[in-house]
Amino acid sequence: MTLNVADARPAGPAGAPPLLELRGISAAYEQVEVLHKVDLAVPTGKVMAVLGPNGAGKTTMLKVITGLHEPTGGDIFLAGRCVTGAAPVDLARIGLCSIPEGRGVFPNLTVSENLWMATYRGVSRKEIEEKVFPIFPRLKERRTQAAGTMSGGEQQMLAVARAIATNPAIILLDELSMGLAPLVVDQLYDVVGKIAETGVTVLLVEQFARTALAVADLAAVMSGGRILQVGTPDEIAGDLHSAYLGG
Amino acid sequence: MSMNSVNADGQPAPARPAGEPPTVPQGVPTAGPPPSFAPRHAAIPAATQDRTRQFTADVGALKLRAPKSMLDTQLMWLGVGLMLVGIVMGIGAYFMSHGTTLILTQNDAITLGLSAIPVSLLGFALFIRYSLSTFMRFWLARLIAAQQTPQAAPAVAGPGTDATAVLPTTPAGH
Repeated sequence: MTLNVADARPAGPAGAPPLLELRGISAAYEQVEVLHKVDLAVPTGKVMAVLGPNGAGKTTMLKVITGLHEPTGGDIFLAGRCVTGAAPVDLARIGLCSIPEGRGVFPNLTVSENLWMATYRGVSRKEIEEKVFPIFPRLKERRTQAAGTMSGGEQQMLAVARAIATNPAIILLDELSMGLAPLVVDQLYDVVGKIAETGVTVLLVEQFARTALAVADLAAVMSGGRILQVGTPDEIAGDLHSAYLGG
Repeated sequence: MSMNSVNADGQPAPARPAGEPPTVPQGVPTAGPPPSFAPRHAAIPAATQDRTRQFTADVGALKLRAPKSMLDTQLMWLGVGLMLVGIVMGIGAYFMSHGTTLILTQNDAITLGLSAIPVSLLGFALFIRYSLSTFMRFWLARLIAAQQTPQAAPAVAGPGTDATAVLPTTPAGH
């Protein structure tokens, strides 16, 4: 199965460039190359799910996009402008928001204090709470509780809530379902669906395909550091077995 | 590679569909009719278009720094050098003024000594900018990472403390 690069660049609305685009991205850890000329485009306001087994390079790809890992080749484009080499802090400030694998909440801070971290984009604490607590009433109940003492699902809710609070243009979601019960995963993906309905562009990376495909507009399969297939969720769902297991 | 697994009765477990979370108990019907993954929405809300426009403008205004070059390292060493030069100038000025009784030479030594101060300060500023700022950034990142990992057992346990009572704990949900 090979990728036609034209397939990887779905047209944005009214011919606008994709909000996020990778062109020929390669990345390595020391001498070991883990991404091999990855091409991927996420149109404005769409949800793209990148699926693939462990070690496919999905997390590394997200790290490259956020500027945390320097690519060895290729370019990253945001809204049509090449931003390869931009500092992670600058990308976060303009609205590229990443929810890392393992939640990334501050365990010693309370729920409210974790949410207040989003004030770096100039949003007031009150606005953040008014925006987030209606979506996650559970967090409101636990606003004074230390984040580290909450369950994994609640911590993941907090991570998603903090992302929403920053009013992002693009959200990168890394393994939302990791270590969580299926019921909690479904709840979280419901929220992701609602975020997506507001038009935020979402790139989510997931091992468990079915849940991710339910909220995605486009999907890609990644394995061995390469994008193997890009298509609609229906197309990808039909080829999942061969994509994961080969053949 | 064999993908077969065995259930509690020793019988081969039914294969799990690709993409199914492994935490779903075996035998629980999860799939039902094949799901349809129709595109979620076609039109982009107006508020999003505003946000996208703002994002596009922000991306346009983004100042991209050139990748860290040799120049940074050279400026750091220049800072170290200027600091040393300032110190040497100060010491030199001391010996210069004490090695003569001529007022004019002593005035020169004072001028030299005073000039050493800004030279050293400039060197210090360059050194801070191009070395310690990087270090401080890493230190801050490390501090945050340390906060996010579960607390380990204290390095030094008090007398009579049971070492097994302070084993590292894993946060709930992990």
